[in-house]
Amino acid sequence: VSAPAAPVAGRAASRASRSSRLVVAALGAGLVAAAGSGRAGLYVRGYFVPVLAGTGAGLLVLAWLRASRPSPRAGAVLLLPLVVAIGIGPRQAASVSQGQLSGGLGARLGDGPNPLLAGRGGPVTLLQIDLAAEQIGPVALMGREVVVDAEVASPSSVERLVMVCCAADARPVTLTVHGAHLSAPGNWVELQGRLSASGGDVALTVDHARSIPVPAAPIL
Amino acid sequence: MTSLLEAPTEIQRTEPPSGRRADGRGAGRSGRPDWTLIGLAGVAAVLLIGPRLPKPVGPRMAAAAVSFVSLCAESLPFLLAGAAIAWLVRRHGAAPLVRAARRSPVLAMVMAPFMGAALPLCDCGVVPLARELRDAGVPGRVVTAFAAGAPLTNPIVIASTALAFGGSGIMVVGRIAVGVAVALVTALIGPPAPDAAACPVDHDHDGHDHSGDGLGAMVGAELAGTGPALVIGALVAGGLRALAPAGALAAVASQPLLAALAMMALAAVLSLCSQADAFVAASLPVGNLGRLAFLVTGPILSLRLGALYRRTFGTRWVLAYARTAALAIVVLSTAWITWGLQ
Repeated sequence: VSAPAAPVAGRAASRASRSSRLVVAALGAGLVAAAGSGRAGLYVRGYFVPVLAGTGAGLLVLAWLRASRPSPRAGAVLLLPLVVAIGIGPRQAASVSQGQLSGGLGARLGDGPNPLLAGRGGPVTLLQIDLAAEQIGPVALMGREVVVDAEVASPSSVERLVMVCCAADARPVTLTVHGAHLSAPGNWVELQGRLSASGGDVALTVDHARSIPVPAAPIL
Repeated sequence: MTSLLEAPTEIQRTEPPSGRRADGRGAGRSGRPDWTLIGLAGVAAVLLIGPRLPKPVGPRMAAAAVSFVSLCAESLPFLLAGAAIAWLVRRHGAAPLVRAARRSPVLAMVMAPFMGAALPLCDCGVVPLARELRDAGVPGRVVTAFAAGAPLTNPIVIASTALAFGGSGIMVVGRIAVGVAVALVTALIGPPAPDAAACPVDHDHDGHDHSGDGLGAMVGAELAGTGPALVIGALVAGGLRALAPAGALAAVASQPLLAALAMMALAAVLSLCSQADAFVAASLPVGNLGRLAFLVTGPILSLRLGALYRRTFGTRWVLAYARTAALAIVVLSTAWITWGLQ
């Protein structure tokens, strides 16, 4: 073994150490940025966003301490979700096909009070309409004036994906719509109208509809 | 896929700083391509371009990409929190447990699965501890009961299961009850962990880089060791979740026993961390029996664990353990869903 091998190995070790620190730091910074920018809302519920921010901060500390040394391959694997997350926007998240999951939704951890159950209307979500109809029945909601954002599913219905823990378990909630000519499926609309009962299900009789851009967090 | 699943295990071994393996496989300053990195780049390209394609491909690819990122984001904090708590326990609470196991082996075997409540370690963290118990002279059946049951009584595992299933008693209590029962049955009628004399000499492949005793080193080792396995598991789960033919999944889901067997196989292949697998189970389009079988199998019988156990206890023990545990999981999960807490 020739003498220059040691410095070469030392430089290689130094490069590897620096790249592993960069991987951990990038992962931490990515989590912090996702939490701060609201991008994390595409993937997890709101109550979990501070947890992601804390995890990101912890990873930055680990990088600073040089406490984690993933190999180049491990680093590449760890960075894969970050790369994919950067490339996925609200429009792609909103287009998710969740045909294999449906139903089974109930009140979720971290949800606020449902205005419809308190006898009020106003801005609500499709999930709140669905849960209120399930708990007190569509008839009790008749005439309630609401405003709701949703994606057009068909000429006579809108839907919105709802997650329980994270977007991997998202499933659609659908609402039948009367009195409006909806735009093409996939477009987003803000509907203002009155709730009604239609064939045992709740429906919305629309007074006013307008197109809106895809929300920053399309999955509730 | 096998090479990808194995990649995180390879990572833990001593590698040249360049990232190339000592056997010459790997990255390439030698001029040979690194197929792992090329594969990852391909996967990234597919997940970035696919969601932008028109229907019906685009929405399915979007589902795969969003599920993948979501699972990673939801699971990583639990993984690192588990490592941090494990550091606390290892530093302050391991010795009394070893003494108690030595005093009363029978009682220790019964109590061993519940040690997860006091030693909140994920399944991969349990392996080195099981080896330490064995080396300390704890009877083999106690070690088996501990290794199989402790990951399922881990408070973080219980909390994540409750979170994923919205506090559903049949799943949360079922995971603990069936998991503990499987651990005891496996310890009683399965193979006791072989004594230290049968242990392979090389222990430097247990999935963790024990480069220090500090909190940062423990959490950092977890990230470098188990983190990539979690990412690969999320990738497979996301892809399967979005891309598997709906008809085939529906056919499996409609037959509970077949669904249970399929989910056991899936849990074994995915090798997800027990602190995070509940979120995957909750998103699986199968019934409660399949989900429970998935939840119980992962921390007891995954491929990742099998590799660790093989190095620790030997191939013969792993095969006998897997046979006994798999049978127990099927029988006891079915019994719980049929007659258990409703």
